[in-house]
Amino acid sequence: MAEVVGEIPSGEKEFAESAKKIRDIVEFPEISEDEFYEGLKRASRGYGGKLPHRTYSLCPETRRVVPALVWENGGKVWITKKCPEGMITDLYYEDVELYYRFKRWLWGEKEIYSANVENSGVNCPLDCGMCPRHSSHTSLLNIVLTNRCNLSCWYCFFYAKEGQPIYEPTLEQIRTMLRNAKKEHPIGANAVQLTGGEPTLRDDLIEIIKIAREEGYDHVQLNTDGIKLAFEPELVKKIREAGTNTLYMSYDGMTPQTNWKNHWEVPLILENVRKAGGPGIVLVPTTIRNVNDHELGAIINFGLNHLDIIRGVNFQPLSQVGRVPTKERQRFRITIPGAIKRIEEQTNGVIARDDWYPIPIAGHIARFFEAFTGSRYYMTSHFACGAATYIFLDREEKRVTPIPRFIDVEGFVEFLDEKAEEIEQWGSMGKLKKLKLGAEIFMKFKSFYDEKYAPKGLSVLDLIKNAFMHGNYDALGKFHENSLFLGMMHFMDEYNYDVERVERCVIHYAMPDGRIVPFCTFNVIPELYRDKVQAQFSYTWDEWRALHPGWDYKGDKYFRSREFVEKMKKSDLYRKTYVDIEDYFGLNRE
Amino acid sequence: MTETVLEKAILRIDLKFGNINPQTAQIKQYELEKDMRVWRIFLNGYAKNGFVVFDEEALSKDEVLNALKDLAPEIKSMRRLTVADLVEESMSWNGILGKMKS
Repeated sequence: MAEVVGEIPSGEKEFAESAKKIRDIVEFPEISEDEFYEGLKRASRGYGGKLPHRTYSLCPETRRVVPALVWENGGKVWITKKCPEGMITDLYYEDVELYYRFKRWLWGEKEIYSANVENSGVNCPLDCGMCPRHSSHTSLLNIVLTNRCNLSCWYCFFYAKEGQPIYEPTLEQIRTMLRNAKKEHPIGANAVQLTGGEPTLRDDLIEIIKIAREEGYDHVQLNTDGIKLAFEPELVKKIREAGTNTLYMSYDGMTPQTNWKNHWEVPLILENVRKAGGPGIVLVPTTIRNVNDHELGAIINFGLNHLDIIRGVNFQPLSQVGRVPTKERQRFRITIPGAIKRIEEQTNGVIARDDWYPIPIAGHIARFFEAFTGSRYYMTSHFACGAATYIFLDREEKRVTPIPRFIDVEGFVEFLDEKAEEIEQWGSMGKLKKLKLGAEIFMKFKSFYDEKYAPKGLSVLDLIKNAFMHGNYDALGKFHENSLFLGMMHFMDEYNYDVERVERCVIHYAMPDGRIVPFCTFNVIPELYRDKVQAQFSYTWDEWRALHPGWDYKGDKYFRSREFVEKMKKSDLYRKTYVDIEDYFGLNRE
Repeated sequence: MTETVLEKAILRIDLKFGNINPQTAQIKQYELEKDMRVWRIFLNGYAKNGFVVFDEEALSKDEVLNALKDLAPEIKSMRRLTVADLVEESMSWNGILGKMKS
């Protein structure tokens, strides 16, 4: 299609064009009411039980919390519930084998012993806050800095339309929210994502980043469309200098159609980040069946071509906001295994299904490090929420190698688990004992490591030796220079909602009323959380204008001109960014 | 408004219910919770008690009790506070399990 230019990007026409071609449809299996209730009777209960499994879900219309059945059919995992409005089935996980492989690494411990609301959680997820029932501390805290946005995405209910109240917490409120999560007991939040709206619209953004650092956050990331960063190189520099580690940047595809948000601006963004020496970028493709799921391999290839500044790609399978007809869910629904399968196909098997691990495997590694170093960094999400891997690039050989091809990850983690158990029984560990243990782990690690397949230019053994024997993690920097993090995070919606997943959520939002709410309650039940609370703390249009006399709503918006697009098309920078790049997966070979 | 809202006076009523079960508690809680004038609510269908924190200027106590009348509510106690108090009480350092009030 011809580019939509000369307007404020909204994506409506591009999406309609992308969605025209239907490549495949998810056929939802039939289940009768009798079969459903029979299934519930024999289903396992409690986190991690085998399929069929009983959990609770949410009715899209009435918002009742109802029993739900997670069950297998045709090699896929489904979730079915009986709502007052009828039986509802949706796809839960596209690969039952992967479901079971990931389930093996579930982390069942409760890791948080503080709460923000006085309730027992019996009405979960209708009284989040967090409550005593929640199992996981905050791994990543989100703070909404504003609901103003420079784009006008057609599907977004969140950003302030003209005349609508504006939500923008004060610096003091932001500090309180940061402190609240930092003081979670016994493990405080250590990573924060500043989000919006578009957070770069705030004039005091630099001060906010500094406040996050002052409050002890080691990791600060900015969730952005990057538009302002394309045109304000000084802002990129200031953002980095203030202490931002990562730009978590929307990047939905390789063409102006699939990535209508910032396709034309990305070359400038990358250039400005290069000049500023950071922050590292994580590309965030919202992944939609029949829309951009054919470009996942190409997006990874793009990341590898800009490995000097791109640190990762975090795919987010679509969460379908609001009421969605069955036909649309069949057309657009994709889950983590579906995205993994497409990546395997689109990278010609270079990144295969078995190269991925569930997020809670990190809990097992963290358990060891807690025992070994005394630091506490847990990652304890539900096994179905996310997946990750690392891939290494050998620039000379132009070869891409996922980490499990040269390290037996599962074997090594099992070994670390055993060691953690041993250390925990010791009670305390002297320096000599620690050194001996470090040496033992290093020696043992060799048996999990296959140098023949390891990428050249990366001395994994030195890295491990430094980490375990000398407590020196500086070498990890080298690891990151040659590797690309690949992640998946599937946020839920009304249709695939699983209360067991929410109870273990590790990605939370801080609200100005003192509550800390899991991502999938904050956004899926906005009438109780996101929209309601932000409205309680918002400025009316008139209040906002009185406080900001020179402010103009349209001034916030980005207008993509035809001239700009033409200029970009002809530029060397555009060619360098998108065209003259290596094809690491043989994507363009016949 | 975001600064001035912290000074807003709100009322907390703690209740006991004569006719409640887990399902009716959940439905009623959701119904009331959607209301912008309600700042915090928890109805426990098992323990048959609960509380509502609301903006008394915008929503009267009688209106709240009327909304709950099917559950046969009985007021156990009332407390006036500000939004700032509510925020402070919600901080994680005030809610360490085992040391909490409730």
